[in-house]
Amino acid sequence: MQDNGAGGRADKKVLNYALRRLLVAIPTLFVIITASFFLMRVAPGGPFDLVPDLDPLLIENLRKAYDLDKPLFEQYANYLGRLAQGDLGPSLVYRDRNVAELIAEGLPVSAQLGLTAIAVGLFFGMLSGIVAALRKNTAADFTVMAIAMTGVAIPTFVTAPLLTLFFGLYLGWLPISGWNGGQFTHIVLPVCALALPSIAGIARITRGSMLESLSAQHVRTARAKGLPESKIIIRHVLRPACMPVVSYLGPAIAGAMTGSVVIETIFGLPGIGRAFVEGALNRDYSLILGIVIVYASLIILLNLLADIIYGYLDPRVRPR
Amino acid sequence: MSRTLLRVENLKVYFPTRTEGGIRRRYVPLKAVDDVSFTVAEGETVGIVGESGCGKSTLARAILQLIKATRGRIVWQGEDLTRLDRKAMNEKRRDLGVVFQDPLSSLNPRMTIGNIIAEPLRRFRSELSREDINAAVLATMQDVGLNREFLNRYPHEFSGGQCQRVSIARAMILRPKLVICDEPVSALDVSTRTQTINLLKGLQRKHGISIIFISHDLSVVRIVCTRIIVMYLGHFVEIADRDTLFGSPSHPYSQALLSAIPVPDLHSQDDGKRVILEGELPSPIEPPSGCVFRTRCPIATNYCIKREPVLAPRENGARVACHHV
Ligand code: SF4
Repeated sequence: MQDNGAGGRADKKVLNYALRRLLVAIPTLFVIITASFFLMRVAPGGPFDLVPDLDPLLIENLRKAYDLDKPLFEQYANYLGRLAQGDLGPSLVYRDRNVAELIAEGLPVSAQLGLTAIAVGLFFGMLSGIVAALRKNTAADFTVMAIAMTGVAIPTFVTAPLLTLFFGLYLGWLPISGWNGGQFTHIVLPVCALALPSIAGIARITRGSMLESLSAQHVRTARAKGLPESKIIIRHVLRPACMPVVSYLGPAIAGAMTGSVVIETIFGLPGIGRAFVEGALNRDYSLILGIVIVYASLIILLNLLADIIYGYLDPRVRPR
Repeated sequence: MSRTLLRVENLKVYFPTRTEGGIRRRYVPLKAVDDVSFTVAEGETVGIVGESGCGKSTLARAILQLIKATRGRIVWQGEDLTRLDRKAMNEKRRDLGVVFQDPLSSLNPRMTIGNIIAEPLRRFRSELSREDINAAVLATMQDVGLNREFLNRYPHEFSGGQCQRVSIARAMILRPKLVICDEPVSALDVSTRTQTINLLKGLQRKHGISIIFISHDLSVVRIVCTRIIVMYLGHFVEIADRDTLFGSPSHPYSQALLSAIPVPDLHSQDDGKRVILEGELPSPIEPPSGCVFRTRCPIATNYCIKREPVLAPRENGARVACHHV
């Protein structure tokens, strides 16, 4: 086999690998769904407890209407049956809506917010991490690392109100809450609050892995061969240095897309994170399950994606 | 007489180290390489031997300007490398090949064998077309005995010996004037070792390049090198032609090193005059006064404590740093 054959073969291998991984993911998802379904039901309370002074007869009817009076196992079987047809069922609390609609409404808001925050975090995090590593033990390095430590240590429920107070109330530059169809001014503050910890995290990871790959033997060899330092960094240092960031990003993106309860609550955003917590508090069984399925699928998909990118970055871990 | 390619003059490489403990911390130099001078002529193969920690690798790196020399000159084709800025130095690297010890980790695991070997060409011969580069890479691969089908494979798929062949191909592809090999075979098993040495020797003959061959193993150096430098604790203790050194080593340290080599030939008589080295290598931070070898020298005298011997020529043509031989 000659040059091109190798490339085509590798692509096919990657495709096979992805398909195999997705097949394995089906039982995983099944276990997650089953566990969540029964765990939810073990928890005390029910979806109609929070409405005050509800007529017991009415509750009885509601339970009947949503099949909650049937044996648990039958309910489980029914749920799976409907799920197989792509139906996530009706919401038990927002009674005029079904779960798919609620997710379709909340997910884009959370995803837009989360992805923007991750993109911002990736850009500034990697940039400052690279600068810190290249200027190791200088003022620039110490500054970046000090900020990163602070960023990791301070939780978003502290930074978010501080940002709101300063830019929203004191300076009055930006609106302090609301979504307004994702208008730019409305997402600046929540994106900043969300991005700060990922900037910090990514900066630390990047710095560490940069330093490691800078000290690799083949980098020394590259210097001895007379490659200009910029080329050495781009060709021999940056790629391996990206790998820990890639594996960090998989779960991070899934987490960011499915929304941050804290941020969505503080800024009053109609995201899926808030829906999830409200669903849990209200025992909205089908809504919780629906969001769990979305979250789990995202994690599985993104981890798979991360592993494939990993293979492109490092031939040693390529699927055979 | 062939022309001098490289002349190292009074080279010193000191590393600052901090003394442990004590109320006043002091910075004291670690004298990795202490005042050495030698030359390499065109087409010549010079070996540098010594125990690990004697400063031979530091010397190699200093010549390549990967470590800054503390003092001294490194004159390469009439130009002092220590005075060049980074850019000018990088241009010089075109004629300075290098092969390091660790076969696998010297290769970027994310580049194919073909790209690794082609990299120096792309750096220094950017005028070449893709086809020319490809042809040159394949020719060099054949030169070092690598199958052309390896072109698109990655380093981790290969054995240490094959990886070292890749390193050698990369060092050779620009047809450098000098190749510095720092322990190129010590990570390889014995059979691969011989093949690799013979490969280096063959390439040296074929292309007429000079080689500085650094090793702790005299039996390896013996095969490749015509002139051998024996190094101890940052100092040169003996410089001699191969046959002179192996026939009649002068310096007590050379004698000790030689007697430690197992005799390969059954018929050669081992006359029992084995010199066994006692004690450990002293610290280069506080080297012994006078002669650096005196703590382990079997014939050391009081005079050796007081005076440092200098390299001086002997009747057999060797230059030896010792008061008593
Ligand atoms: S000078 Fe003295 S101590 Fe040094 S090698 Fe010669 S005899 Fe031994």
